[in-house]
Amino acid sequence: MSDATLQTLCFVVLAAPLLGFALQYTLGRRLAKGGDLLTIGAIGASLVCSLLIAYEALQGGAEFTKTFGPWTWLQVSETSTWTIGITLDGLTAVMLVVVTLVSFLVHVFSTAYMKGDPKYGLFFAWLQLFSFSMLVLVLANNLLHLFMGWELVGLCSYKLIGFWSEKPAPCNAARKAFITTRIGDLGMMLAICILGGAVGSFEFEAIFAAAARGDIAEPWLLLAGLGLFMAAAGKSAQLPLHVWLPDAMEGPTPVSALIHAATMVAAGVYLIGRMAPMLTPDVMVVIATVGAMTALVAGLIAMAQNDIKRVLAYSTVSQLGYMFLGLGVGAWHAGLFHLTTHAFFKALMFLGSGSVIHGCHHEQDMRKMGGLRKKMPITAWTFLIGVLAIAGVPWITSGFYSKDGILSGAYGVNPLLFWIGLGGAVLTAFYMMRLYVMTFEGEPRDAQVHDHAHESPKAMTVPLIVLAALTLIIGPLAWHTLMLAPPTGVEPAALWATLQSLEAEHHHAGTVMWMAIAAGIGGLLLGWLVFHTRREKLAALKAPLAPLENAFANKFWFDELYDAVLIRPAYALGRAFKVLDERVVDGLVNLVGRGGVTTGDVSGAHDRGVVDGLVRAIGHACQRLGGVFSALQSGRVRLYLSISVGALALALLLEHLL
Amino acid sequence: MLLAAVGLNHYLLVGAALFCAGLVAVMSRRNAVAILIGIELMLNAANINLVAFDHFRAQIDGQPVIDGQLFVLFVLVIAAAEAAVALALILNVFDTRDRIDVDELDTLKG
Repeated sequence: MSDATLQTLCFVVLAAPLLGFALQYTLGRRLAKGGDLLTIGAIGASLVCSLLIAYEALQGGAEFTKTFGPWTWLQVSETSTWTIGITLDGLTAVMLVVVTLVSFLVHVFSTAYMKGDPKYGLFFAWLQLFSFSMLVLVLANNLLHLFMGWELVGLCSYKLIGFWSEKPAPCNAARKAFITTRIGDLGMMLAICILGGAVGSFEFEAIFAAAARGDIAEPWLLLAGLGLFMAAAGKSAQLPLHVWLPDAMEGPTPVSALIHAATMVAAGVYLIGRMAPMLTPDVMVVIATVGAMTALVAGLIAMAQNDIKRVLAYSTVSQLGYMFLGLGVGAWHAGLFHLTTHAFFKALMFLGSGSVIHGCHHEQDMRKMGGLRKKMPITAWTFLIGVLAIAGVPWITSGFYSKDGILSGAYGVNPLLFWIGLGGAVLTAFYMMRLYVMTFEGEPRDAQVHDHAHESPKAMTVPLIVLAALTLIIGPLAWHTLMLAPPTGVEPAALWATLQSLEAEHHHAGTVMWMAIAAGIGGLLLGWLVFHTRREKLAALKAPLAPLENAFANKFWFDELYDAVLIRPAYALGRAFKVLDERVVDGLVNLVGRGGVTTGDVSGAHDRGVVDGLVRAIGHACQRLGGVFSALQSGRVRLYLSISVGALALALLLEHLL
Repeated sequence: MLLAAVGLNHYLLVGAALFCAGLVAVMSRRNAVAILIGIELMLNAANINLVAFDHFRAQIDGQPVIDGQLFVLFVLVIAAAEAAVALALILNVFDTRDRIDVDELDTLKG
């Protein structure tokens, strides 16, 4: 395939969903079936092109890297030009397929899930724009271009979480998501400014080269790395910015699958994966630590949630933690591979939960479910595959390969982080089994929900089957082929050497693998025992653990903490400023105002008394004088004549005398 | 001889007397017609003066002079016109008020 063809394919990948959005947004309501076929066609075209690109990347092997552009975007000054451009390498190719494939399946799924919604067409429009934004982000070859996609993703997520804007909860969740990720974006801006200033270019290659040469001063490089991670932590819901993701479950379930499991949260991981060559060892340590902590904390919280989507949300947070752990310890391949596999099985489980919610007439509380396997077998079996994958059941599921890779990476670098990760793996298996059992196995707990439950239509089950198949095959198939070269040919600044030696000796053997398998299977069995076979002892088991469960159920009081530490002080500050405003600022303004009024009064009095008085006096004088002369003007002709004659006589007399 | 004794001053005195009589009539009478008569008297006093000056100037120059006499003719014509206008006014006043007392015609006072 020639470069020109590849470039055209990239353009099609980008243009199809953008065009789809434009048409759907403007004409969607008038199209047949709300325009869903149009949008599915658009994302389908994008998917086909992505697959072609990925095939080409596979042919190219580890060295496959292509750059198109740069094209001038803005000429900001004589010397500085902002460009946009496209980079194609293994990582991009994988991300393209993940994004378009999951997006395509979600589109199909939504035709059934959103049926009858008054804003049916609009939903697809936003899905299109979201896919476009994510593709922009993935294809970017410089930070500024990437940031454009990054912000568009944030916008679309805001619109889609708050899609049911007539209800207050989705609106609040949307705002929370937007604001929380904005906090992270601050770090992104910082990093862009630092790198742009130090390197003079936003292009990845230039930044990596400068970092490798040591052109960027150490503190600045550290700060830029931390800024990038801050952005990634916001987008990918890492501690302490994870609070928005569970709330984002207020959005429609296909959105949860697309944005909050498979792709948008992947943006943060992708960013760190993409920028890995410039991250310093200190930043890597921070990333790994935060990732491990997130994996553990989110896992603990997930154990005590009862809303089916919230369990999945916390499991997403936890799995994202794993990805960052992997990236942080230098297990670059494993971290990004986990991103890929997780995208498929988490999309599978979210769509599965959507199918359950749809089948149970929008009931999301797992305590009212149970025994649904007989009612909705396809959903149950595909969901089980997802559960097995996330638990990391060996050899047949993809989750095993990626999680194992991360854990062995951590084992070689930092044993403490490894044990935290392993603990998280046990938790993951445990709460996912709890979720599965509570939903699909055992006796129905709410007769009404159970009686009305039904299997979902084909448009929903077929995507589930496709995703389940991918979940099974992608691991064994892709581990050796898809896992691609480091992001660039430039030597990375960080732990790369360690990583490569690790990767070399890592062949899914040894103690780490067995520990990972034991953790996964053990967690699953424990979950099965506690929630299924030995249910009657559950209450007795729970009693001593009540305080712990309370802490988990309340999500470690993160929201309350933020409320007390950030939101209430912010409101208090606001109130203080309000008082200041009312008393001091308004007081000053009022004082000035009153001064003006007083001056005006004085001036008015002066005007009325003195100026008007003078004018009136003159007027009166004129009037009086006029009165005198008016009296002379008697209208009596004889008098006039007498006066004239008298005056003449007087004049003559005077002349005579003088 | 007697005629020769009559000089310019005699004429002028007659003119002055006539003028004063006219002036007194205008100033003292309220009847509009009487005032008109007074005005005629004053005009004719002036005419006497003009004729007298014309005559004596011709004597000094030793040749006939007609300037003064011509002037008098103009005055007579003007006086006739003026009398016509005045009488028309008076008739109108009389029509509206049944009297021709000028002291009552003071509607133009200030």
